[in-house]
Amino acid sequence: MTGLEWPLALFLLLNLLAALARAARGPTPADRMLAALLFGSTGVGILLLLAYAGGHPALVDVALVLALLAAISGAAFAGRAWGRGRDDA
Amino acid sequence: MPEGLATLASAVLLLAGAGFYFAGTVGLLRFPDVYTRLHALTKADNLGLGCLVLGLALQADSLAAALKLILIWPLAMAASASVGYLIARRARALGIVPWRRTEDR
Amino acid sequence: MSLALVFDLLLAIALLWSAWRALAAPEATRAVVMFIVFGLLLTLAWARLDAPDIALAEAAIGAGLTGALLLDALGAGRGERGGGERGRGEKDRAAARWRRPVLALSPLLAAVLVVALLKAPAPAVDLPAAVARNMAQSGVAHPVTAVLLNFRGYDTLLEVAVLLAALFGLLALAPGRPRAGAPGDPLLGTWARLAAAPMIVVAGYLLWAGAHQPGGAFQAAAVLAAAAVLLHLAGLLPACCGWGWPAACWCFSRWPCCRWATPRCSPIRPPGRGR
Repeated sequence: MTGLEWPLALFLLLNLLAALARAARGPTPADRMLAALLFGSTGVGILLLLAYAGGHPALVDVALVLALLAAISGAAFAGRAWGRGRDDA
Repeated sequence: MPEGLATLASAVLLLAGAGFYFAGTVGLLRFPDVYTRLHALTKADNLGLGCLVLGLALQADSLAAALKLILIWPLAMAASASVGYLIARRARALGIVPWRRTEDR
Repeated sequence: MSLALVFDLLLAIALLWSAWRALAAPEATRAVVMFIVFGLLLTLAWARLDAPDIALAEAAIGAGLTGALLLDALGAGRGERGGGERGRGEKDRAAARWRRPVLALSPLLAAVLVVALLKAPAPAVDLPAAVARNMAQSGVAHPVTAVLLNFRGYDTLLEVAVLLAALFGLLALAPGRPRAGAPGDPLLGTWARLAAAPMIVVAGYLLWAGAHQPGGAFQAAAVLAAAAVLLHLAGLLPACCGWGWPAACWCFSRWPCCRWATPRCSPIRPPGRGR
């Protein structure tokens, strides 16, 4: 058990907060969606680190579910919500 | 002593994973357009998550727990690769032009 | 541990900030993306509050499903009306009149709730102890699943009934017959096919694991629904009037007393990819 889990979890959370800046600022909707996708991946990392830093071992299942599902909103964004909708798919 | 070696390898992999996540975040913040930001994002997904998962799998209690951890990696990779392609294709269809160095920014 | 405290404080600040941005966003797409971000942060908050069951549900629903459904609704609305931002003028003026009183009252309400929570008396019945005493009769080893599926089983059953009623209302109000999604990109189809199988397996695993660790039917169903959403986005899921619905209609229409329930069903035809 390395002692790195908590510091790295905090570090990843700081990365998340920095990505919030892109989510707030990003000129196009795609930049905001990219920030949300980064949130998904970083969230998976944080959950895995929390699971091994003394949290509940079921957090690995939460990370698994998040990894599976977080990209579906990205697919919905790219397919449906960006631009003029379904007209020019 | 395999235990110390596993802990050391795990620590190295965890640090590498965090480094790739950091690279992805910096890329997302600093790169000039959607395509390059996508590139940075998928690196965080693939390598960052992969190193993190491998590093934690070395500390897992049982083989089943380690395999469940490692299962997360290809699923996340397939998802991020597909979504990256879809967003880039949509950006191209909407007419977003890739950034060129010769432009004055 | 001080690192944990710093983590929790940063998470709390990020939660409040993203909630504010989601509510104050000037256009719908930004609001939805900030809502997805808020859902992800909330998953981390539930994980830190030592509630993995709720974290599972939030990861499946808040971060994945709801975001996809809201974005799909945005796209559909935009396609029909060519932009949903017209007609905001008068709504904005009416909202602006209420903004100041609401902003003044909500910290007061929050303070009242916090004080009430902190000063709440001890409950008369010690429910966790009661659940722990009767776990042997519940058939499972995990207290959350025991409460949801056994001790409060009627509650869960009536929730399913409410969902069914909502589905019937939706089918009754939907304009015309449901259409299959337009066939999407081939890569999306490949990814949907590749990802649907692990999703179904993970759903089954969560259902089975709910007996002795965080999991359960709710989270498993959310993952299944997400698999269906992904297949629908890829255009791979036939519409309700594909194979299943007319087969059910045919079965029902054989019974004269049920004919009133299936007025719009057509003879069985093979599922089509798109219209």
